[in-house]
Amino acid sequence: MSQRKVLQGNIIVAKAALAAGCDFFAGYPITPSSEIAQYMSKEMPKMERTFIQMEDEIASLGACIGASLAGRKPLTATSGPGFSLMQEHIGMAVMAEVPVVIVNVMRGGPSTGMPTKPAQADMMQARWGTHGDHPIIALYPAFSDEIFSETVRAFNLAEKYWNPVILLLDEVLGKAHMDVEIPEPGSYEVFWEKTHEIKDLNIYDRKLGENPPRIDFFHGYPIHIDSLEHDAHGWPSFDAKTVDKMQKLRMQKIYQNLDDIIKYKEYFMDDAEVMVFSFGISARGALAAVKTAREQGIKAGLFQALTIWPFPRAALQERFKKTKKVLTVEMNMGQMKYEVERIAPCDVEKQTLLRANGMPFSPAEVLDAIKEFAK
Amino acid sequence: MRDYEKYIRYRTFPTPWCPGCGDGVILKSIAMAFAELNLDPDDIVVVAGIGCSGRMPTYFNTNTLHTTHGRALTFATGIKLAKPEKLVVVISGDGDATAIGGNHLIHAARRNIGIKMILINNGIYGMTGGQVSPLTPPKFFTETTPYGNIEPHFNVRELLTAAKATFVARETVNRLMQLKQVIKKSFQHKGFSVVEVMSNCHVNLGRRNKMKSPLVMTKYIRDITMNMADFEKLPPEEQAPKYPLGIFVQDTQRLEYTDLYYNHIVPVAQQTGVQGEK
Amino acid sequence: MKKYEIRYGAVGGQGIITAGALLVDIAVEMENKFAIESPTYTAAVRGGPTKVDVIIADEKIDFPHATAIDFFLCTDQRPYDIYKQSLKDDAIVVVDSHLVRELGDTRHWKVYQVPIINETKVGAGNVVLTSVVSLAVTQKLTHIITYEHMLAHIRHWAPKGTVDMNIKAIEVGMNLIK
Repeated sequence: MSQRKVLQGNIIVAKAALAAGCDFFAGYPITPSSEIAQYMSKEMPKMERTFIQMEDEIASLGACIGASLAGRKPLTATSGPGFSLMQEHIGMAVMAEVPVVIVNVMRGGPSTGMPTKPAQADMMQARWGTHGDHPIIALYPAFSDEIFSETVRAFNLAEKYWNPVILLLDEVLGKAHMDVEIPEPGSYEVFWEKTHEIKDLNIYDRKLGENPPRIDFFHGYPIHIDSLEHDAHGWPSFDAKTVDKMQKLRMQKIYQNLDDIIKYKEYFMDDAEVMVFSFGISARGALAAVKTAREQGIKAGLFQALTIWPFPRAALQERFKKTKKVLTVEMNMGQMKYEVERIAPCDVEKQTLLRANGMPFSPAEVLDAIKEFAK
Repeated sequence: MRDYEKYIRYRTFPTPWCPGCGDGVILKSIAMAFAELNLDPDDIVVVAGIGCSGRMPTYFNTNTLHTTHGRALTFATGIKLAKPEKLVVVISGDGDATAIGGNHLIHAARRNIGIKMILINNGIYGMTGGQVSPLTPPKFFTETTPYGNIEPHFNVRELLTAAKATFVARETVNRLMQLKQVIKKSFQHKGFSVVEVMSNCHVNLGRRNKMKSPLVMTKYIRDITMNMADFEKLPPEEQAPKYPLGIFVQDTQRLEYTDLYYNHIVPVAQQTGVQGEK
Repeated sequence: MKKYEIRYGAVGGQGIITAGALLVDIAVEMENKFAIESPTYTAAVRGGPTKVDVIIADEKIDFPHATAIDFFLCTDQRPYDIYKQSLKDDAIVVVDSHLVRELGDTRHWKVYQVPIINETKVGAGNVVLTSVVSLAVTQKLTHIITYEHMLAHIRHWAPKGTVDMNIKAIEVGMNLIK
């Protein structure tokens, strides 16, 4: 029997991380994510797992990458300003292909912004925050059960695809105490890569689109890991052909496995005339609005993205064959709406409901927008 | 093949360093220290940041990690915490360690985490083409101090002593055997250790300051450095431009961080257990 | 009941976050309902106007903030002024009779003016018990949780040596509403 209890969103993340085998946490205090670090500092030593509070967020992600290369499953948690500081090391984790999970409990920005207010302001930072071309995975749960399942999935995807995975949350979801059903261990998948025996130095060599094996230090064959562009051995290389190959390997491990990575939920979408596209806290107001709209005879539906990056392009395009109106609801001045606009055919009408003032959209506000749009 | 050569990864040669660079001496002295301690190459990880020093790990036949600018200590902290039994060596330049990575340096010292740092002090940003660093001596000309350096430089010994580092030493590339010996001692130290190595960048620092050959520059290093015993005899005003050599701090009393965490915090948490969240 | 919305307003440090937490704990863990508590707070948790929204429902809750409030308990003028919006027409409103003086238009509400803070200090002996007193007031006026569950939960939750104090606080809360 799974247990129903009340937990803060941040604590659900921490519990799910531990359930997913997270055995290393390095972080730096920042509102509204600090409860994750606090919980880990209490629970991890009991389990002989490792917790450390570092001197800043750059150091936190650095320590996580180091631990990952030494065989651990690391987690760090932060919010906007700290997430900005982590960007260089997100790039390092992509380049060296190191699994690591980064939680960003989003708050109002830019800069110090509104530490105690929710926002969905880092959607694009999650995608393009670090420099250079790179693949990234970002997940964004909205309900308590999803906070658990998506956290576990973040670890699984990181381990499977050898890439940093960003778990987005917002201040409301992080700080609220909510009823949640913590599933029994064994009822969900936890991906464990069997320790890969390193027999030669071709550590990065593989076929295009193939999942890489997890490599780490101290397996009997000393290896080199580099933040520089490198060849299949990991040695620095700027040879155009080699660089081309390595970049494609890194991109295709993600883009040839979209079915495994992309997850979304659809509510009332089968005959929907107006689609609300949303995620996180905004999707919760939107879902209540869509239900009320249905009661009032308006054919509205909700497409809730759980995987934000890679963007669920194919699934949306399938919906656009029948649903010709899309309303993007997000707590920012317009970020994911560009993705929707980019992929929606010309005959699909696009509308937005945007705000970044720290107030989540209430169901009534979304309903008004749906009604106006449905006319 | 000599003993130390099994720690050198010849297949990645040549190195990017200029002829006459002190980095080669340091590479060799570290490999010699590994050999004297008879370490398994797979039990070692060498981590570095960015710059000429950052490229050094590539040439060790151990586990090696080339990271981001100034942050090598943070990655090393993660590795050491994950595998406390391994020898974790960080190689850093003066810009890497004391400018962009200055915060990590003092915190690693404060924690006393058992990382072995080799801080190569050539007083300049070499790989980026000769810009002033926090260890460039006053009045020196660099690409970004064309009228002379107006900033005082950090004294690494005093900085780290103040940060409560438990092993602080200084040597020069002119004295290979002493350098190897100090590095070996630092590897045997349990807590955080820093060996500052005075090195020559005749190409990017010397050239702009009338010391463009390696010989002239290493002579300059010989002239500004002296044994601690001799240094202490000097009157204060003569001490200022000189760099004493030797082991300045060797505190074996204070517990190492991973030892504290796994052997003190973990048992306390398991026995008493702070009241857990529901 | 399909969905019941409760809002606590206070200045930071008056214990409403605890009151909200206790309420959702009892509703979910003892009565198997669905519940969510979302605090709105300023950078300084102590001293600034604070609110806690609690939603208790028979089914999964979509939007976590209160939008049509059934019950509002407030212990200070500033949060009263800011957070009295979104109250339903027949809402129950409980205010501290000493600390909330300007009520404005209350025609559509059922208002109780009671000395919550003062009675907590005098009756229960310690102002930190305002959280439990507020919880008891909520129970008595809304019956959103049962008295028995509240009592059992407080006995279990109260730190060692404070059980009697907390039970006393429940009595104070129950007696505040005649």
